[in-house]
Amino acid sequence: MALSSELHYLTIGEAAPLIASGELSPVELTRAYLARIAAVDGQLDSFVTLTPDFALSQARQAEAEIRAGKYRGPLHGIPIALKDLYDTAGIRTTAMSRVTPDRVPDEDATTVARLYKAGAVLLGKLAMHEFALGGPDFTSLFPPARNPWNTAHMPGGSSSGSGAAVAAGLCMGALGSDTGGSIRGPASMCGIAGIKPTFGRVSNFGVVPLSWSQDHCGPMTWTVEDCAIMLQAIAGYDPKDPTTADVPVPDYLAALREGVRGLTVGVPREYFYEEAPGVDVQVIQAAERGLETLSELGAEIQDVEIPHIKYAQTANQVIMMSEAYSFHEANLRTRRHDYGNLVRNRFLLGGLLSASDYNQALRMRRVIKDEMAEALHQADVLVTPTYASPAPQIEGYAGATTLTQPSFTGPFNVSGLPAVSTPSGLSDAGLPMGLQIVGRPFDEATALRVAHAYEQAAGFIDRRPPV
Amino acid sequence: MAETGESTVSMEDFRALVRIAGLPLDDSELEELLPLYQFLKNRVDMLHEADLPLGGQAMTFPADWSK
Repeated sequence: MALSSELHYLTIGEAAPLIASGELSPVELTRAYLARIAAVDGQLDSFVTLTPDFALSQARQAEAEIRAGKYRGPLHGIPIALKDLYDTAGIRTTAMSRVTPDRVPDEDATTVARLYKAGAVLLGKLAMHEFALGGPDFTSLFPPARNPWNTAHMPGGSSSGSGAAVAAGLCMGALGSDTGGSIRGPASMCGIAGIKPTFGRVSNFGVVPLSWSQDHCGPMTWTVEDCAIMLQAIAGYDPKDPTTADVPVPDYLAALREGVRGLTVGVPREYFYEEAPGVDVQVIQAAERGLETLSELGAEIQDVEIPHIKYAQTANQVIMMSEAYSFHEANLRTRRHDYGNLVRNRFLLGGLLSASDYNQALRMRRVIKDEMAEALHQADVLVTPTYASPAPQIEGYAGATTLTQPSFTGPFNVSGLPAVSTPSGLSDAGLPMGLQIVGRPFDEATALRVAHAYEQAAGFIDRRPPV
Repeated sequence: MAETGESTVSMEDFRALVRIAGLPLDDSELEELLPLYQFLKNRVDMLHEADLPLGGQAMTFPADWSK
């Protein structure tokens, strides 16, 4: 049994068998996390709402059920947290905005209900970029979260609190959401794992939308194994969300054991591996080393082409801003100053795009999706750097950064393909970087399998941030 | 934020566009937003220059995609 001072660094995969066997008490574990949050989160601002009474109630119920022989599975008694755009019945859900500062949903998001059903314990709600767009903004409802590797830096976004809290050992796993990279970006910048599943794999019901056709819900955890455990609980068709697909959900944990020998890794060198303004060469070098590691593990490395890739980021942004404007139009016309500066400007841009612009972006999406499908007929997965740079500083952060900096994540929101980020090392400044593994539609299992093999070989998860 | 060779939007034209869109922005907001719009417009112009096939845009994957 781990010492109580180390409980907050247990992974879900480590804690679950201890809980199942009765060696670790969910109540003890929950109390350890609440104490850790009280001790550390003043530096990070990763939580915006804490639910200690609710958490301890859930933990006591879990403990009683397990003692009675009713163990539900690897999330039973596991303390988690949620980006504050997941609806939680009776618990404030603000999307970090002064537009909805007191909103209390009547119903849980489907993903939240599924996590509860699996026995997870909710510690609280996490900071984010307001309405899942913009950047670290002191004019939003709550102060921006900070990166536990260096608190002068942002943790990435928009799932900023999710990245910071998982990395700092303030929860064992979190849900983020990803419309242009908002799971994978903070996973990369905080040195953790995160997966954006295939569009349609996980329900968006009860999640405050940014861009209906590009929003993806998914887990963020310390290890790829833990991502697999959380994804297993939330994946699958939801009659409340017509965009979910009624396709079988495989055993993600079983897939992790298969290794990468015999798999073909596709490398889209154009765009993703090119030096360009806004791209830190260290992330490309780290990805190249990642390819070497995968080759040493037995994967075949093969270049692939996505001819229209240079248009993907613009297509992602045009679709995102147009759909976001559609959702926020009434409020932008009547109370725009309730929005934080960064997100307001991005939403207003959506109101200045034309129907022709939106339609051209949708046409481009079809072309890019088909080109990526062709690349994935040649390879089992694609591998790229996750983010174009390590985490920027919060002070002086330029609101236009996510508009102007090349995006290695957004193209896979355009195509809807599943994509995992796992740590690829630390920069010269000691900030994490990430490797992105992209799978075929509904083949999260292979993407997780490759990410897990790389993670175990690379060993970067042995390092924790200095908080 | 416009780069060499890219078109620029005058404040007068931008003000007219914002008015047509029905957004009640003041002068300081227009000044803050114009550089972002300029950048985005140049990117969108490039998107329009791409020669794309016509066709449906629905994003769906058949369950038997891999067969």
